[in-house]
Amino acid sequence: MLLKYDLHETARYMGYKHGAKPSEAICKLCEDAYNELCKVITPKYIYKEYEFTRTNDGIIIDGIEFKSEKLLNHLRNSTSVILFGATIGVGADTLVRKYSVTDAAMTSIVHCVGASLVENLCDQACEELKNTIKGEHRPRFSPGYGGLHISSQENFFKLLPMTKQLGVTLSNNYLMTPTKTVTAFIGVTKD
Amino acid sequence: MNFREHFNNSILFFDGAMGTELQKNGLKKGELPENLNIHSPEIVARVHKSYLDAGCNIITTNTFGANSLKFNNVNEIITKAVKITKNTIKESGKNAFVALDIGPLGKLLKPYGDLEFECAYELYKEQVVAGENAGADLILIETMGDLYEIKAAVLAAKENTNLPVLVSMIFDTNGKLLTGADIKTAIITLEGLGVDGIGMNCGLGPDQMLHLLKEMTKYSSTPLFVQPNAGLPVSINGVTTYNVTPEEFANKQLQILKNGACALGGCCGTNPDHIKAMIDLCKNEEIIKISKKNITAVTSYSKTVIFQDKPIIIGERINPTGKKLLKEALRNNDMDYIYREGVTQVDAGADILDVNVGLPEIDEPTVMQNAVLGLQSILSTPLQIDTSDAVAMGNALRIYNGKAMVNSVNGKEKVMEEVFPLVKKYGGVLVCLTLDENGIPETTEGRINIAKRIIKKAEEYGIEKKDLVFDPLCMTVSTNKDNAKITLECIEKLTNDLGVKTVLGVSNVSFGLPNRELLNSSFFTLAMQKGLSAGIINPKSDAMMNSFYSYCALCGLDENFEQYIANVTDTKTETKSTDVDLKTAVVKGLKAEAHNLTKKELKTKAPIEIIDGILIPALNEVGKGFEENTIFLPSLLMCAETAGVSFDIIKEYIANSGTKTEEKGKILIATVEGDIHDIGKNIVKVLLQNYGFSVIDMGKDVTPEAILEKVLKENIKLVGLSALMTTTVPSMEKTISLLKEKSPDTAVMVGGAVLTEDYAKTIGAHFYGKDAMSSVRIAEKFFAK
Repeated sequence: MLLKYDLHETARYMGYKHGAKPSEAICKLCEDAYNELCKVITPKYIYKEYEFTRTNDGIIIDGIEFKSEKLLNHLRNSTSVILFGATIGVGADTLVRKYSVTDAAMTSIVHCVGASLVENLCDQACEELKNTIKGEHRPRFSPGYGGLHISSQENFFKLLPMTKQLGVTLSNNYLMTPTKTVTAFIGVTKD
Repeated sequence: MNFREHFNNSILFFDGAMGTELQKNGLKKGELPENLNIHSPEIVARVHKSYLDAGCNIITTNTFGANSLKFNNVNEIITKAVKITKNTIKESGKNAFVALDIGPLGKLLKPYGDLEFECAYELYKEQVVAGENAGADLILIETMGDLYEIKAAVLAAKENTNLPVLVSMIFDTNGKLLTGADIKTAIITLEGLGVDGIGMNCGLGPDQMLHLLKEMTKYSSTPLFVQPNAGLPVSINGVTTYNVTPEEFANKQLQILKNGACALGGCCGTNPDHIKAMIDLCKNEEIIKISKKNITAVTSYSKTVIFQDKPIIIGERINPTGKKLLKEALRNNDMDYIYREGVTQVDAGADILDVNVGLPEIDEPTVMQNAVLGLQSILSTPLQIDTSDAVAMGNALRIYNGKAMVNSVNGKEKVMEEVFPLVKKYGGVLVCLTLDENGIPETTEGRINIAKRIIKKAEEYGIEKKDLVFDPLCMTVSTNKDNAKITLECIEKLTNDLGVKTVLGVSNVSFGLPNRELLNSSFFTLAMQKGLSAGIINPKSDAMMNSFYSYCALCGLDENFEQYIANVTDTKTETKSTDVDLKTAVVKGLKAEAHNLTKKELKTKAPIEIIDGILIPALNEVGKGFEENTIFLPSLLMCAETAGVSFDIIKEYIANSGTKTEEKGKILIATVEGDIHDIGKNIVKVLLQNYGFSVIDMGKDVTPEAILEKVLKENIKLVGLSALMTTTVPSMEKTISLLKEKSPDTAVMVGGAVLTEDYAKTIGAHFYGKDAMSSVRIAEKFFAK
């Protein structure tokens, strides 16, 4: 899968406000960062579709509860839910670490272009998913947002083999490594 | 029965999938399989029996995830699991080995994740000791995706048990491990650790594994075993299934056997039917014994450097001898300086980096270990551990992620007795200096004789000739006109007569003479022509690298002259003129221009005039733009770093002139315990440094106690703490209250994505920095008082 980065999004991650555009020199560095990242990333994604039941303030999948009213609301019309995980691998983190001792500007640029790449991976993967799993797909909803506490990652990992198949592990504080990784719930409404 | 006698002499058969078979026999959904050993041993025994009936002669225990991260009764689980396996074998009346099954811990090791190497070692140690005590015949470390974790597991097994150790890895379709190692790198690293067998399991079906096995047999001298899934998984109505039938599986495994595996088994999707079909078809086949390879190679966690026809460049710059700034960096524990030396040498063309941190006044074992850990977290270049301190060497080799180059041993008995056991245990390619108790022989013959003695002695320790690389040493020609000639003769003889690889620190040859680079680079060419395998040189020297690229181009070692052409173009583009002044160069982030212009300014201006009159105003202009939202983070950083280039030149100038500079103030910064995000903190560091503050960076995931200790030791008055996650703010709060209690004069500024002004106040911080620039403003105000 050929990943692309979005310069506008990347600029936003880098702190550009009010539609300000990066200078030509910074755009060139983004391009350099992209080319370097392309050599070291290993994009992969996995997913699994589950039935779920609703509670007052969340959902239950395979006996495991995820408490978040926003998630419940997000899935209000859904008939099933896809657990989705995607990563661009450890190479991006190593590149960020390398630049962190040699070049702070590139560190933040590689970091932000990497973030844009993993978003692009998710977007492309979710398009592919629409072909495999029929029905209307809701946008991605990730642990750590919308009142779904970040500690729910632990349960998420029980339902999706993030470690075995993607090499993603959780730290004691539920942070994922490699860092350029996304987990998400995607609601599906079947006719 | 002794496993080592059977393995690689007759074909052996492992069992197939365990988890799915346990489910078929009654393991409930969501239940941990390892618990069955305690409350339902009969289910585990049933699965073992089905595989024994299929004809297996290696039965793996039900202990894949039995480690202390998941269970608090590891010893009990493992002891019972081994007993169940042994009893089932005994009751069946058959002969089979008990393999203690060990899987990955499910946590990534540092620097990727947060698990310490020694912590992983201890977790594995508990498992293997329990397994050996309970009577397992061998240790099977399987489904491993990270070389570093494998190293922890193998060391735990070899240091604490006498059991044979087999390691099986999970590769993706491209033949890569999760942390990036390819097959070649994995094989070379594992052989360095001296494992008894190397295999692959899970992830792939037999078709893909056959393909990867062919790659394995190119590099391995160690027996190989293969345990594929029953094909690649397919999802049918949300259920994962595997489609390869027992007959197909058996046929493919027969092919795998014929291509060099000596033991076969199955993984996900295989059941006793698959295994029986495989055994029935293969049991009367002869195994093809793996041939001995003669490859001299070092590895990192993901890369291999093989000593072949093309000479290898070993970067010599991380060595304090004669380097004022590096010495200062080592004394101040400024590791970033060392890492930068590493990165720039690799960018200049180094294949391997020499790491020498030997200074009399520092704790070499600790600094060496930190340097190796730091370098391998940012670079995939293999390292050469360079020290005469055996403790430092042992420490570094232990935590090195790969098979290192080791510098060095020599013909002295005492040194050989110290160094050989370390290389035998951890693996490595050893640099052997041809000197002994009587010094460096003046003749070629004398040096060759020492080389022969080293080879013989190494053999006694089980170290093969292929893992020795000889340095015949070079004395300066200024003391004896024949010195270079002797060294060149030695290289020729070592290569042709002894059949070993060679290495040379090239630059000694010119000591005491003018225009040393010319002599060094010419001598380098002569040495390569005589067969030199690797040069320890300064890859940042154009003269040396030009010799190297020219030699390769002339000797047919540079396909399409790619390197040569790239190198030549590089030097041409360097001489472009600029018409900007230093301030503009800094504002615009033009590093090369700033470099040249600072040197120029120093000819007419005092350092302080340049700093206060040009650099600080430039930084302020950009800083102000940042605060007003007209300039954004990347440009701010480029400006700061360009100012840094100028500061470094000025610093060097001052160091050489012997005067002291005034310090603006010392600040300690750290990312708090539990938090591994340090990009923001690093940005703050760059800005503070380039505004002239002295910064002690303690890194990420730092405990409150460690911060306090450093604050007291260094008498720090301002601390900067960063936290990115809501979950780690409590440790920030803990750090602040500890500092307030034990070091009341110290102020704390905090920053990070989740913090706000109010939040910062709630947790007791003195200052809140909303972005990187505001940390500079806080520091300026703080120290202006």
